[in-house]
Amino acid sequence: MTVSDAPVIEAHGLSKTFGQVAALRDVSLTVSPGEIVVLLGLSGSGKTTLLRHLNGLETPTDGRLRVLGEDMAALRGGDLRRLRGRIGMVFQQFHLVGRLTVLENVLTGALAGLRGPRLGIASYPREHRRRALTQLDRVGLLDKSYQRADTLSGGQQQRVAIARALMQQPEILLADEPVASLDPESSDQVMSLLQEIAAERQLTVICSLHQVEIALAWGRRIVGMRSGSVVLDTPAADLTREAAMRIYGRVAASLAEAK
Amino acid sequence: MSGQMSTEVDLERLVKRPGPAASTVVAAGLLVALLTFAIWSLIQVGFTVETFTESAGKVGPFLDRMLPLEFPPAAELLRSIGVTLGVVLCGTVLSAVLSVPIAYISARNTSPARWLVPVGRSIGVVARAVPDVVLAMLFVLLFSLGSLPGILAIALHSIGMISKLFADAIEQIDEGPRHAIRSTGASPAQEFWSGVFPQVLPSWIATTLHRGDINLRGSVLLGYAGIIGLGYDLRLALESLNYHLAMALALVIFGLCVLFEIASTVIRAQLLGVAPSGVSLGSRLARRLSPDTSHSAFENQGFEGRVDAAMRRPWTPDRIKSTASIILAAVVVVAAVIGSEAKWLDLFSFWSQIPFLLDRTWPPSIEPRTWTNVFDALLVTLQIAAAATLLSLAVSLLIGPLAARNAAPNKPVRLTARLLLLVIRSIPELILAIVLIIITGLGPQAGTLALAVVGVGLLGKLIADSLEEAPPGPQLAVHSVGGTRTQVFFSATARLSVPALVGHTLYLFDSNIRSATVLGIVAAGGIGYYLIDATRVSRYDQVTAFVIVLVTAVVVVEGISAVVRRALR
Repeated sequence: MTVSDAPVIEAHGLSKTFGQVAALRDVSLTVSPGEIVVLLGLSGSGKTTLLRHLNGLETPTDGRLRVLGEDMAALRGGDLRRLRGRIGMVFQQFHLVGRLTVLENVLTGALAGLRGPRLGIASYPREHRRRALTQLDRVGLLDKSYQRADTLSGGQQQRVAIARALMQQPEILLADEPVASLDPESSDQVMSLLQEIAAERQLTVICSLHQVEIALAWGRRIVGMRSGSVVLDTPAADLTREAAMRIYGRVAASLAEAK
Repeated sequence: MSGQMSTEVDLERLVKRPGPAASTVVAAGLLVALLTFAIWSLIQVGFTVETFTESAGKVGPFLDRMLPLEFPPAAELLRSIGVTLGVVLCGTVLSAVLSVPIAYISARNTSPARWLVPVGRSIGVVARAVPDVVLAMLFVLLFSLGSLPGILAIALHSIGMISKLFADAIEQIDEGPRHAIRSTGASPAQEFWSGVFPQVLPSWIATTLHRGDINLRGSVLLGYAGIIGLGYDLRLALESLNYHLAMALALVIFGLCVLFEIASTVIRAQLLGVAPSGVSLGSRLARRLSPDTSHSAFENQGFEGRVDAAMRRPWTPDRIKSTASIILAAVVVVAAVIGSEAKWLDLFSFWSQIPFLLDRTWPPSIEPRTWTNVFDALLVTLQIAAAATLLSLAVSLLIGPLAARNAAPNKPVRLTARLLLLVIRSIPELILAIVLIIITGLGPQAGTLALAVVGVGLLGKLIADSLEEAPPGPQLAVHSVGGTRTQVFFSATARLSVPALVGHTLYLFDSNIRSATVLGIVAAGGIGYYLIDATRVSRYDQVTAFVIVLVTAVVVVEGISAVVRRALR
């Protein structure tokens, strides 16, 4: 392993409890640069919580976490924001600001590198506007640039959200159930877009999914989660559909979670 | 069949209905107590059917005294209108700006520190509790006469409502976009302006416009603090018993309020983003002008060319409209700044007067009145407010649903109800109270009736709005299982709006306490009368004491409302 291959994410014994509920139990995970990892599991299995730890939106109750070589526990304020600037994130519900134009939504991806609040497209430097439009062209939505974001379809909104993440020029891309709210066709478009972009920019991608088929078709490495624990970590090639389904252990798992 | 029956019985036995939560019990108890108090107040105020019939006989002589109307010369009238509108707009806009930082610290989700939330909320409560006319009377001591004390009084008092509603709107935003912007590495300020502010902007503008309505109606009273404008003219006319002139001015004020209300309603409807879906000429035109997004404006060009072309934002109808609105808003604000005739430079010189003001207002004293006097007066004010709220609620429960798009039986009924509410809402309560006092004689009944009528305008509208804002999903669900319109209304629409209804009624009670105080100026009685009397004899130490009593009362009522509303959420 060379120096440049130092892991981008190292989690050891990560635990998180919300009140009485354990969302993560003793999770350990190491991800190398350029890896494409799928977190597979039912809703409530801890995938979202794990992703939200990776960019510091949550802080662990216990355990150690290093992201891009930084110790997350030690990061505060400006340092934490600078790290977040290096990590793009795409959400299940897109999370665009509906009343803003598509272009301004993409521009918000550049906020980490700018000083002071911005309101309106004109408040961003020309340089940034050009770069944002380029990202929009990349995701095929250049002609929607000046429309309000909430006038777009779900699939288009998710592509705008991807453009926003790309605007950050990220080293890691986190995707939290990026296609769970989309129809199959938009879902295919979004997944192949993510795949192309990951290949073009040699991004490290960590994507949570609950659909076994998409996970097997898409990921190189599958990390299965259940009730907050990692129950499987294997190259996708070694995993059969049957084995993957077993992670779900549908009935047993849901009963266990009900308790 | 019998097997099915037994299953049902078993199921019912199996699933026990859980007992009510403690907070629900407390909230229900408080609501019952408030209702009892309101009914008792109605009796105490002496509100009977006879009062109406007796007063009806006095309408004839009253009309004789005010007709024919006698309008002031046009130039004079226009100047007064300009000053009044200028003062109201400047005060309201200033208040809207000042409310942003206060709302920011008052909202639980944006406040930089937990302890700042109660601080921000308290600033709002105090600002709300001190009537603008009292503030104006204090500011008149600081400034040379003119309109600036009025502007500042409106600005500070309005912070109470605007910052509260704005903070509530911030707490109700979709947190998703905000988290998304946070995860790009944005700072808290960037997160607020990019992720939060755009979401609450329509609510902020709508609240400000709404407050503008209220301030215009309330501006009449500022005349009693010596602020020039229509209110001042009206006061002079009333004091010289010139009812011909007074009623003419009252009519002008009423007309202005109606126009302002219509303008603000139209703007608010635009802001809520009602798509042009109708078959009217306007909607057809709007649809025709809307950009056709089915094909790309930037295609057929190379990559560089496409991005270059996109750097210039096209002038779509939407962009033209929003740019025009911004320019228009700027013009209105500039016109207001000029029209108000305020001596803005006084803002730099008044600081030296502050020690003098403090000396006059501190320490507070109620001499020569006794605490028994004060509490009796406070009780009268609370009774007027409670009785008026109850009357308003009873009438609004009928008119409100008739004015809601998803509850009214048909369009003519809805439009009639909306128009009725609009007209009622535009009546400045002070003018109504003056008219009623001239008709019925002095006393709490006149005040109660005035507040009750005006309250219908507000509560009826809020009920209609909250019915319309009920999420469509559950209504559609009841509709699709074959429910009739009435069933949809009672099973879905009305149920979804109950928390809002209780909240709005409590809000009306809050606001009626303040209005009842202010009505003291026209001798409706209560703590307001003491307050105004104290300013009349320049006993500002008494003013301070009564303001403290009043703020305490309002805070207690607000606390009760908060407990009830939280339990209902």
